Amino acid sequence: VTAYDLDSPARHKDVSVLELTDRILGKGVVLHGEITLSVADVDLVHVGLRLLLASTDTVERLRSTALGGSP
Amino acid sequence: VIYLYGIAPAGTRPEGEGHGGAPLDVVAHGGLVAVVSHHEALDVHPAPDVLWCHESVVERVLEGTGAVLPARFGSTFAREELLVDELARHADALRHALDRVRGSVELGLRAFWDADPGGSAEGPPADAPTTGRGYLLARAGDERRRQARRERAAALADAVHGPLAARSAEATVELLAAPRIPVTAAYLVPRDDVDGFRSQVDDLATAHPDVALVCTGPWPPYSFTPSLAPGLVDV
Repeated sequence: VTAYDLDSPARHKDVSVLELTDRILGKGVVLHGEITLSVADVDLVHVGLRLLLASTDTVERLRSTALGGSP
Repeated sequence: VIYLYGIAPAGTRPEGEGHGGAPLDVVAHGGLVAVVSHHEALDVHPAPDVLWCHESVVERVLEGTGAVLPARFGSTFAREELLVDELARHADALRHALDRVRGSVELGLRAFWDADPGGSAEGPPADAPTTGRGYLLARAGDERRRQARRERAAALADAVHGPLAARSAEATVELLAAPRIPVTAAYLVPRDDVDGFRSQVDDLATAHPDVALVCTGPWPPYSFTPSLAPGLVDV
């Protein structure tokens, strides 16, 4: 997996793990086995994710990378 | 216990290791292959390295076969027969879904606002109302800000998500996943259109300097797998 247009490897990794978590815990096929995580656990992770994603710091970093580096 | 990573077409032979270094194995039934690992006991937690382990297995299967339905993280079966039963029960839906995603990957898009255009509905009001009328006015103000936020998010989705969805085989979109995240979207994109898709995102980013657009992927098609179970089992 590559995060688009994110020049620093650390940044790239940060964003990728957030996006992965959103997908892997919230999407993907569910056969009727057991999901070994409780719904409460998953909700906690999602709440944390959204707080992190919405933090000013994250947005600032994403913004400068997404727009190709503002001055 | 059997841990499930994903569903792939018949003939898939995954290589390498899964959780805890366990070798990958397959459970085949009805033209489908479940990619699994076997464990005496397994307690998975959503730590980054454990999530990446699941993801890397799915990515390897995708690279090997061109089609995979990634499983939700943490899917386990007590016995192989239980997994075979589910493969049999959902065989048609799973085969159909594999056909839909074959040759395509998922790209993700998030739009961020610098500042919440609705203001902070969660924060404390500047002047705490002390009268019933003041309270009602404050409530009405909150509702107006929420409405403004919803309208701007919908307009942004039309402008940004609309053209990207039009060039994708399938797309999903969620508005206002958080107050500063107006658009969260996923696109099912043919592999050979990934570069073209990304340059369209570049163009859209240039046209919308008031938002930060972040495109990630390619991912296995997590957002384009069928919903089969009536609900999650809370254990």
